[in-house]
Amino acid sequence: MHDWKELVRVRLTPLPLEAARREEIIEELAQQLEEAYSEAVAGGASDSAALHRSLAQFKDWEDLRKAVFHAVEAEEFPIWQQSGILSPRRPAVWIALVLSIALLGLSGFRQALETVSIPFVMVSSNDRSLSARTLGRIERQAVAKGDSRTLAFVALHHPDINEAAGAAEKAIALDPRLTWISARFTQAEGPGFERAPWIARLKTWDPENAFPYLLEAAAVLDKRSHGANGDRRDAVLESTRAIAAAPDFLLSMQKAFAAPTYNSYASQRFELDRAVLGQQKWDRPSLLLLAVTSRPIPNSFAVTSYAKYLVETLGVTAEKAGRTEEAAVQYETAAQFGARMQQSSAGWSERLNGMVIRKISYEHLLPLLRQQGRTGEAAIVESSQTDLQDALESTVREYHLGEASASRAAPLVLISDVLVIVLGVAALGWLGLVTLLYWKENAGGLLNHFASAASVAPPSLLVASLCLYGAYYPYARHIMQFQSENQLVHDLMPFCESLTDPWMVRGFWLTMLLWPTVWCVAIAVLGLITLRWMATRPQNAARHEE
Amino acid sequence: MAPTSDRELKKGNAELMILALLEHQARHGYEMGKLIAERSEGVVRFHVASLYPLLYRLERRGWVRGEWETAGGRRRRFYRLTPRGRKTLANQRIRWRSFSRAVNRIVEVRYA
Repeated sequence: MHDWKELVRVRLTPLPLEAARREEIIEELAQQLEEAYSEAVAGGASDSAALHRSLAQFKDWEDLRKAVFHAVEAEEFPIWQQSGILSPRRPAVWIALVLSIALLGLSGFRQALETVSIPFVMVSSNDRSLSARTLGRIERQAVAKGDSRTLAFVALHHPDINEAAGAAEKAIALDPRLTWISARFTQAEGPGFERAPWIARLKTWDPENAFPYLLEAAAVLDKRSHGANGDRRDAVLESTRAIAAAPDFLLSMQKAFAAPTYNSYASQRFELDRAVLGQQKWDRPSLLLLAVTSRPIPNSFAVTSYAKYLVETLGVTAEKAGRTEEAAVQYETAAQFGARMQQSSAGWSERLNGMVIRKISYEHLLPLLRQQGRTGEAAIVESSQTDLQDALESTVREYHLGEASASRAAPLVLISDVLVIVLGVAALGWLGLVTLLYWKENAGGLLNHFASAASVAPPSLLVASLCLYGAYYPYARHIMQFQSENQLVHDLMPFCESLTDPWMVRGFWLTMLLWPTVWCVAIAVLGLITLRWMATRPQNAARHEE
Repeated sequence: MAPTSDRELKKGNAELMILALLEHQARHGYEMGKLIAERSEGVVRFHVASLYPLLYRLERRGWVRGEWETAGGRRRRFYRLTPRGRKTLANQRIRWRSFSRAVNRIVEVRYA
């Protein structure tokens, strides 16, 4: 003989109703089971089959408990009395929450979380870590410690150019080897700020380097553009005649192309930025990228225009006039400058600029050498030309390769990031509510309702967090793992650019997720149809029996 | 009738069916479940897990009253209509008749 009341009590507990009412309900449901059992036995079913048939009347006791409570009390079932998989009394939801929080311990996950700010930071070129307030605080600490490198970092990144100049003076006074930071001020503008002294200082400190002269040439262009209303910055570069008519620009460029070295201080700057960011515990590759890419670079259009002027105007004119030696010198000057620019530790755009200049020069130098019968030298130039073409193509190809994979990862990271933030807020809300309801059970039916609805947040947060970490994983690195600006730009720039692409969403849906979306929708529809069929199956079966 | 429509109809009229069953005599839950299936010739079947919460809801609203009685040697909880429940039944029945007539006029129309 079965103890029907005990059978129901075990399954229906806890049922937080007044004791007498609860006992009534248990007894009534026990009778329902007993009646069904007796009927099945009378129909010839065995004890176990009859018991099974009787219990099958209530498939989901958790749902029944909630429904009974709601019917009797007209309130949501208390969250701390629930026994479902997402109940706070069960470990699953807590494990999900703890694992989600534990992920914050991973540096890569924290980096992934911060990617949501990258589009704003990249567009505004401003990060809160590099704000005037933060850098002011760092500067005060650096002055107290006599830390020249941190002062140099402040000088390179302070948004107020006069404050930055003050920090630069202090840094250079402490360590004159840091004079290269003057480059930052050669393209800067601000009230009462003068670039000229900084350009002069850099030229004096590093006279063999082409870079200060290129910055000087860029400053000349800027100065000329301010000369008359409506003039464009690059008006000087519009024609050969305009270049020839700008002696101050020509003089700076001549010195730059004649200088024996080319160093845009990329490696010094990269190492300084990386060291200070590491020292400040700002382990964010995107911040390092922002810091590094804000360095001044020569006006590539001006450099290429001058190289073309050298080769296509001066060189070709001399060649046509029969002054072949003079023409060869012009071609070689440009080619050698291009090689210095390409081979320096400069950034991607400068290397590409150097390659383009070499290409322009070789196109004229090679026929001239052949014409002069200098076959040995011509063969060397021809070989260099082939290598150069390969290098150009592989550089461009390599960049686009990174771009393709980044454009796939970036939207996933961004969407997961937004989901993690939204679900994180919901999970915190859930945590607050269940804590409140634990101590104050009668805090309100509405709170119970919200807490029940938000129960899905912690497991969803874990899933979204894992998606975020998985999508960002190829980019998750400690800043010290980046060895050079080139590596940093190559590995991270396409990803950051994809995040800021205004057409990302359209391109993303159309090109990347169209078919996955179609598949997901198809599977979802199939799943819904199956669930629907399963839910209505007993009714169909009943009809067949009839 | 398609199963989907079955459920929709049942959901919308469950209260009416229960109240109607209790109009002339008190009944217990098991009996009501069986009666609904029998009278509808199996077309409408109440899931037990829905029937009892519905009875408790009607009881909370004061439309039915449950009382323990002994019948056939067994203690059972019998439900009977309260005056308020009887009034509700009358209103719901009027609405149902009006609605079903309107539907019939649409679905049973014959063109000459």
